[in-house]
Amino acid sequence: MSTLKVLSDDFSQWVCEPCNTPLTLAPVDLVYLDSKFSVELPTCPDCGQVLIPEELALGKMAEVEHLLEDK
Amino acid sequence: MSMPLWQHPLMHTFADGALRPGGLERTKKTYDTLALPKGASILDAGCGTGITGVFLQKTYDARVTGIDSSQEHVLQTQAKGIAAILGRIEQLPFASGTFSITNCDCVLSLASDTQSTLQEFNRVLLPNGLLVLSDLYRRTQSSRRLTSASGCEKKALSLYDLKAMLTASGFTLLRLIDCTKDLKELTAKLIFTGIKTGCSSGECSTSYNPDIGYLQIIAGKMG
Repeated sequence: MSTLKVLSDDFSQWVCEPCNTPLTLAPVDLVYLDSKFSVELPTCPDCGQVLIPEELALGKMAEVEHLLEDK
Repeated sequence: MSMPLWQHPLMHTFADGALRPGGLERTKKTYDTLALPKGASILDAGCGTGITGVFLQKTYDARVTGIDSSQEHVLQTQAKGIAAILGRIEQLPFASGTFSITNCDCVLSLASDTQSTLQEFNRVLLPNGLLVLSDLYRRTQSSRRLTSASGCEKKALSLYDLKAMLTASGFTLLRLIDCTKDLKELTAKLIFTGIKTGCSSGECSTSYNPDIGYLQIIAGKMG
């Protein structure tokens, strides 16, 4: 499964506060209902925490959730 | 003028080259069950750029012939080592009883005359030949929301009408698989990647119409 590039903004300045480590783009699996998508998201290389930007959550992710729900 | 979806520079980031719900993975699942003899002759009706033809030829040692109404597609298919000719699926330029399988992915809903196209698919098949068809279909008999349908969605048939046309064209329905999940996942990938152009017919959008589903049918040529 290829990894989808879902972000256009630059998140290279973001830092994971607990680890004090810059976030890097990494493949992350988004799972909803029976579907799974591999997408590229800013991730802390030390602790693995993932940043999901609000615009993505309320935009593309919400749109995809809606269509997968068959409503 | 919008760019055809298959030409979009981001398409390679999520498609295996076969721009249709399920892609080649769906094709493999189906053909693995058919136990094709080596050298089986397959007509790929609406062959596009030849991705499916190459897959079938290499994976199943089949002899694939493509037909497409686009000269560009025919040349791209030929460049991949697949025999392909320019023509319309509504009037196939092949003798009756030529192929073991007529394969048609996501193209029937673009035909100008669905019934005569299915009759042509049947005519070129050998006795006991198979039709392997995938396309959009209407999930409801109601016309609710179909007024907002676009492009090939507008010509999507209901299951009832499609079955009737298959029978009238000399086919027996052997297997039917609902692939609507594949359609949703393809649409989801288009949303995630931000691709918002039209499809190869130049009319489709990335918005999902819940009255439209996707199916795959295997039908046998009657007696």
